[in-house]
Amino acid sequence: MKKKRIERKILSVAVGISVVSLAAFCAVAFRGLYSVRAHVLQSSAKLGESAAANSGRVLEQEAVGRLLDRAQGHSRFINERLTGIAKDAVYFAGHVTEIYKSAGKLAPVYIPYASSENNGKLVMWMASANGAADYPRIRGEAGLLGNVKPAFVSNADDMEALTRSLYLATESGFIISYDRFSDDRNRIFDPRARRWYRESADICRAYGDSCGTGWTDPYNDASSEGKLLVTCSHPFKGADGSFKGMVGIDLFIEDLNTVVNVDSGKYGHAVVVNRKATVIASSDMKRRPDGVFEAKSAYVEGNAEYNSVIDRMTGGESGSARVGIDGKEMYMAYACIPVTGWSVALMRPVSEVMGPVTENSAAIESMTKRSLGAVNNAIMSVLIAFVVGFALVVAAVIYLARMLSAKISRPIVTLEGGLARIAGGELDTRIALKTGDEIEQLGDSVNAMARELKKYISNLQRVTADKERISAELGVATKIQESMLPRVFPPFPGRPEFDIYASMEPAKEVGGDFYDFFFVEDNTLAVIVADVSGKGVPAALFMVVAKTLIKNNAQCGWKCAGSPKEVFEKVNGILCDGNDTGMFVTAFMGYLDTGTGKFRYVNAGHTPPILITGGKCAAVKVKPGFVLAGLEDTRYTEGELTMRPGDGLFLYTDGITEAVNGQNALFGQTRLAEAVNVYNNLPLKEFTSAIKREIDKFAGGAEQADDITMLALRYTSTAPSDGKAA
Amino acid sequence: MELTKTQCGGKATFALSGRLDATAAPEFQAVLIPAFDEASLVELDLAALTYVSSAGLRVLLLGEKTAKSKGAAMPIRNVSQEIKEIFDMTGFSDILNIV
Repeated sequence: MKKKRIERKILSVAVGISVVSLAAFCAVAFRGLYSVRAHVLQSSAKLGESAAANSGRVLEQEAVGRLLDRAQGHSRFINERLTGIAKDAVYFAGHVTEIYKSAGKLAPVYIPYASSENNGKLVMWMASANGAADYPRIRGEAGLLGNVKPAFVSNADDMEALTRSLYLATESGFIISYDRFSDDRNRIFDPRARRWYRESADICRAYGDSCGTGWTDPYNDASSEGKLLVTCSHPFKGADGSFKGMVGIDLFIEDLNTVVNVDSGKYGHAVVVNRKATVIASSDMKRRPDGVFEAKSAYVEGNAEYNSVIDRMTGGESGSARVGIDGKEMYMAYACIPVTGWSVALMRPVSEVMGPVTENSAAIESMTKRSLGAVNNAIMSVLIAFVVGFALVVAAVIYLARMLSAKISRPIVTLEGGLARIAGGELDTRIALKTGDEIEQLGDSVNAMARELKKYISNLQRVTADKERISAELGVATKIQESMLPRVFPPFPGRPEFDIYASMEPAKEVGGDFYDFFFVEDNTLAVIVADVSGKGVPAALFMVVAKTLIKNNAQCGWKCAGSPKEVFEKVNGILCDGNDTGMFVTAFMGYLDTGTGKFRYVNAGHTPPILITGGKCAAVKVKPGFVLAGLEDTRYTEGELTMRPGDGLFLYTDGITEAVNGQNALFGQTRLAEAVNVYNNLPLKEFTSAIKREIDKFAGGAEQADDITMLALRYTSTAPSDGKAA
Repeated sequence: MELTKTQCGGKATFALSGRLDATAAPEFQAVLIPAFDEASLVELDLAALTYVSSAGLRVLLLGEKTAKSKGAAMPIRNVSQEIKEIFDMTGFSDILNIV
């Protein structure tokens, strides 16, 4: 049982320590792992956000930059084309002026009126305000200006590409045109009534040289088949420098659309506006139901943001903006076309640009999820490793602790078994342990203890035997002492004139007190109570000597010692002789004349007896002499009293009056006198017993310090003694 | 019992207190008797003594006898009423030097 308990204690302590430390380690590790996890989460989120923001910014910059580049490319391209057309217009106008100046030198070239048979062919034709009716009036000028034919025809390549129509219109009201629109219906045509002519011509007429190349708003005419077109015009002068008319070059906006549309798929919506914010070209320009393209305002009602961008465009600025159109966020880049003051704008949805950003965010998010999953997996695998490691460590600890505790507890069990045998009395048992540690020392100590125990027990046995022998001897001594004191009561059955009872109770096995009574002569009863100083064997030995001496000296009667005084003086002398130990005896002796009741007594330093006479107590007074064996040549004084029938004498030693209780109070003579009074009427044996009971009651269990000796004498009558004495 | 000894030249003083009984007497005897080897005057102060048993009386008697044999003196001072009664009863009053 014990072995198991030690084992279990060691085991539980070892397992407890390892489990607690492992748990603490695990807790710290998991805390670390979870903070790493939290960090990963947080930094991934941050990374995603900032990456999205950064890439968004980069993409935006790049996209807008590219958009702007493209818009500027368009503007340059369109500007170049339009500049080319404007240059052509200037060139042709100059050429016409040169023709005017060479009027006398050039042969007239007659251009036919428009005719349906040439419709669809690229030919030179003419028309006038009133058709053929005008011809006589304009024939000379028309023939002169017909000289432009080679120049116009040389421009045929351009006619295939961008230009619809190349013509000159004069103040005199005719037009010479080079295009595919020769038709009978076109014969009557007054260019001066056309808006494009009117607007520029008004300026040229008014300001002369300051009029220049002009561009019309988009418009459509009878031959444009609903398509929008614009006209570039330049005035020409006659030989005299006066305003003579204008060269015009028509071009379809559709051709510009072709240009801008190239990008519409890639860069979204494209639009070209003129200074009046009219849409000249647009990638989503549509025909009306009647098949006519409509020249619309670029402004969008209620979209101030967009409209302000249009304002900047019409103001000739280049730049970029982010605007909302029809609830759709768009990047917008615009660039001016200097030659016309027009502006080209490209628009691209933000969502299209930012698509990659969103994808990027999603990618980062999924990456974060993946890395979080990896962290979670790592934590899980660490957890599993911990659990497995935990189990392994605990198993190892249990195994090692078992081995260790078995190693520790085995010698203890050996020790315990050895101790049990020693405790069982097999003192020759020796414990053989070779552990080399404190347990071996303990075993050695136990062996030493067993040896000592054996020695001690044998000593004890010897001492006990000695003590038992002494005790037995003391018992014998007590018996001897008891036998020396008269113990048969009544001692003198034939002497009814007095009654006597005595007892001695030693404090140790043998006492130093003694009493005695004997007849010195027929009618003389000697009573003695004495107390040897000290107690035990020395006192008892001294007592034997004293008692024997007193009795011997007293019993030889008057012849040897005579009176009690002489007996004491003689005994004192003998006792003093060679008394080296300083022991002494206090003694009281009296001679009672049983016939007369006369009592002569002597006191050698003893407690005076109590005389009970007439129911009252009185101390028997005499000047006490010195103790026996105290000093040589001590003289004693005799006292004398007469006992009347019924009187009693109570002799005792100071063992009674000096009996103490628990509070160290003495029993004292007062208590003794009271007790004597109370029990005086009892027979003497019961009387002494009652006194003893009172003393015991007073002592209350306190150890009896001194021998207690009592002698009670009661004088009954004088009558029989007289008879006997006679 | 408690015992205090003071030595001053040829005079030794023993102050006794408590009970001089059979238990205390041998101890007292062991210091009292040798005191006469060094001092010619051995004074006993019994002011605090409450009780003297016969064994105690024996030591006092031995002391007195030793004093006599060596020509020294053993005066006894401050004897209380209780102790005086014991001395009277045992006759010691006559042989001791009670002052």
